[in-house]
Amino acid sequence: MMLYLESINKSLHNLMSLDKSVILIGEDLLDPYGGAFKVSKGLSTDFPEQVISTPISEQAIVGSAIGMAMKGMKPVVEIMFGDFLTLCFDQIINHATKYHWMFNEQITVPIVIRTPMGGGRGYGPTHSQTLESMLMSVPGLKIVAPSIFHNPGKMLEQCVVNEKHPCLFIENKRLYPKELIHGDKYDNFDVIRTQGLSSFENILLSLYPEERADVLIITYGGMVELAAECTYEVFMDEEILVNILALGAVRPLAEDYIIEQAKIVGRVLVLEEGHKIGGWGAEVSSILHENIFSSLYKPVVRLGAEDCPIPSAMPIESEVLPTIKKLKKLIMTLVA
Amino acid sequence: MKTIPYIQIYEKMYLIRAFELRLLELFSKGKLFGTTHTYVGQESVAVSVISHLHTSDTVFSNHRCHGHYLAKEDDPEGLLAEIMGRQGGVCSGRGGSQHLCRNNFFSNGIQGGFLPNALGMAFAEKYNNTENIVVAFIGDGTMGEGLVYETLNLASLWQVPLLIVVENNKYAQTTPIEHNLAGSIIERGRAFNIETSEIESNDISDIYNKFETLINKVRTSKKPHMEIVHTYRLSAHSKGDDFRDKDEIEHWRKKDPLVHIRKIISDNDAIEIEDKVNVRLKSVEDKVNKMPYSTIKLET
Repeated sequence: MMLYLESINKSLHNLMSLDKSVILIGEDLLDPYGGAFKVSKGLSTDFPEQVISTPISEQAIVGSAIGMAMKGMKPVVEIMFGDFLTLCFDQIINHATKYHWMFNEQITVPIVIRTPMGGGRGYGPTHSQTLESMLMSVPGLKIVAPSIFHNPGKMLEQCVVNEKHPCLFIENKRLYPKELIHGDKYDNFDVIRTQGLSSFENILLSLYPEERADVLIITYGGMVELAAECTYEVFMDEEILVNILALGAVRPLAEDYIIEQAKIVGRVLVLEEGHKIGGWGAEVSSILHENIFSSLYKPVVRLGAEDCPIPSAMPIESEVLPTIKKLKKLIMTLVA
Repeated sequence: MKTIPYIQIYEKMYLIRAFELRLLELFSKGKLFGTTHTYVGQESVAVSVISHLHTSDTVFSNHRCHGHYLAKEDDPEGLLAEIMGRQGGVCSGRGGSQHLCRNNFFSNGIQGGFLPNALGMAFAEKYNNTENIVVAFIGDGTMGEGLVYETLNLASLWQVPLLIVVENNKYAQTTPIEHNLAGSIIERGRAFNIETSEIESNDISDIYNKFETLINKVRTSKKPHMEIVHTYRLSAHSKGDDFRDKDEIEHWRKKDPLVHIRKIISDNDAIEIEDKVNVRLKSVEDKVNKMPYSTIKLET
């Protein structure tokens, strides 16, 4: 048994012990505190030189990590809340992701920026957002978001060891205390694992994999469990079979795999926790309409956060974020 | 202190001057892509700093980077081809005038944005126990960016071998420093407990030796230093945006660092260098003109 949080922490221990050029840089990382979500716990004790706890300077944190990477180090950045990533956009867009291409491939910038996104904890409008879709249009950026069905520690190791270019590593904060599902079974679901083109696993969850599903939900990260819960309910109550595709990489999209799976089912719902308007789902949906329009029984439908900031009070927070109820309603429109 | 190698310095300064003036002509003829920010009048700064660097040291420059690039890489061909969008450009025409990279030279067009990158490089040099230093060139206009102060704070906390050269040419594009900068630049550096000093001169004889001392100090102490050089650009910010007072420009023309150094060396030497550089630049331009334009391969 391994928790999501533990998996990332263990992986950082492992990476640092194997390679002194791996450093973790961010705010409040030192023991005994060990980071706002405790991901860095124990690291500064075991690897004091490799953990750099900084002032509250998100832009300079990412900016200096870029410089370190350009000189052969392998910096892992922790941005305390994903919401603070807005402070780093210039470094991500005009520096980290530009240098390799703009400098005619003479250098690489292998930085990994880890950050927790997501609501459900009542942190309010500036500490609960899911903002990675804002970076979907940035060439040269890889965005990775493990769900509990993935192996977050292994994915982080892949990013640090194998990736030559900037990676944004999204950790949905609700997942930290959750147990990871490693095997090929999760309650009544079969867990089918496929290596994606970006080398990050894509996972298909199905109650009856040998049957043709009525609906396919395409999602990632923190929304996968919600989709699974809803899927089970919809099957028990309505005998509607829904498959779930949990992508490992948000960008680049595993286009061929998404198209292949969507084609089999013909009714697709794209689910994300980020805002629906201008969201990640718009890109997924567009890819499907552009490529397999004639194989779709219905237009692709989408669920994301409402066009409203994320409130703090739990009862209204859930009105803004995707819920099982909203998801179920949309599934019913697809099969109607 | 070594004696100043005026002849070699003049050749470098004249190369920058002649390159930039020719660039302005080519710009007017529509031969360049994008805009261009020339370094006319500030040549003594780039040459003074960069002459003292090792090849393994790194230079990070800004939008006004041609002078720094030529001083470090002595590559007018790669630079001209880059600005003219040719395949022989140092970044194959991908970057253009403000986005250069060769060996340990980098430049980027976002004000202050690269400063933490330079800081991180200096951190890596110290972490890896090298003797290398990193030099970042910024301008007075850049002092308006908040990231500069995040970086100064970290540079002081980390104590890394970073030399920040602030070329105060007194204008942020068209806006004079009086409208831009409260307090003083030197006090801003010192507020972070970074050793900061300034040079009130454009003259090579005042700048050259000072930077030898400073660079040795940064290299051996592995601590940051910020140096402000009060200089002046004699050309426009880019093109067609010069609204400065004519008398002010005239006043600074008399302090032109090339005029100063030319008085130190003999006329014969100066003419010989000028002829040599002019011939070199002519042949560079001929060669670049024959290069094919850049191409691109996109993944579909």
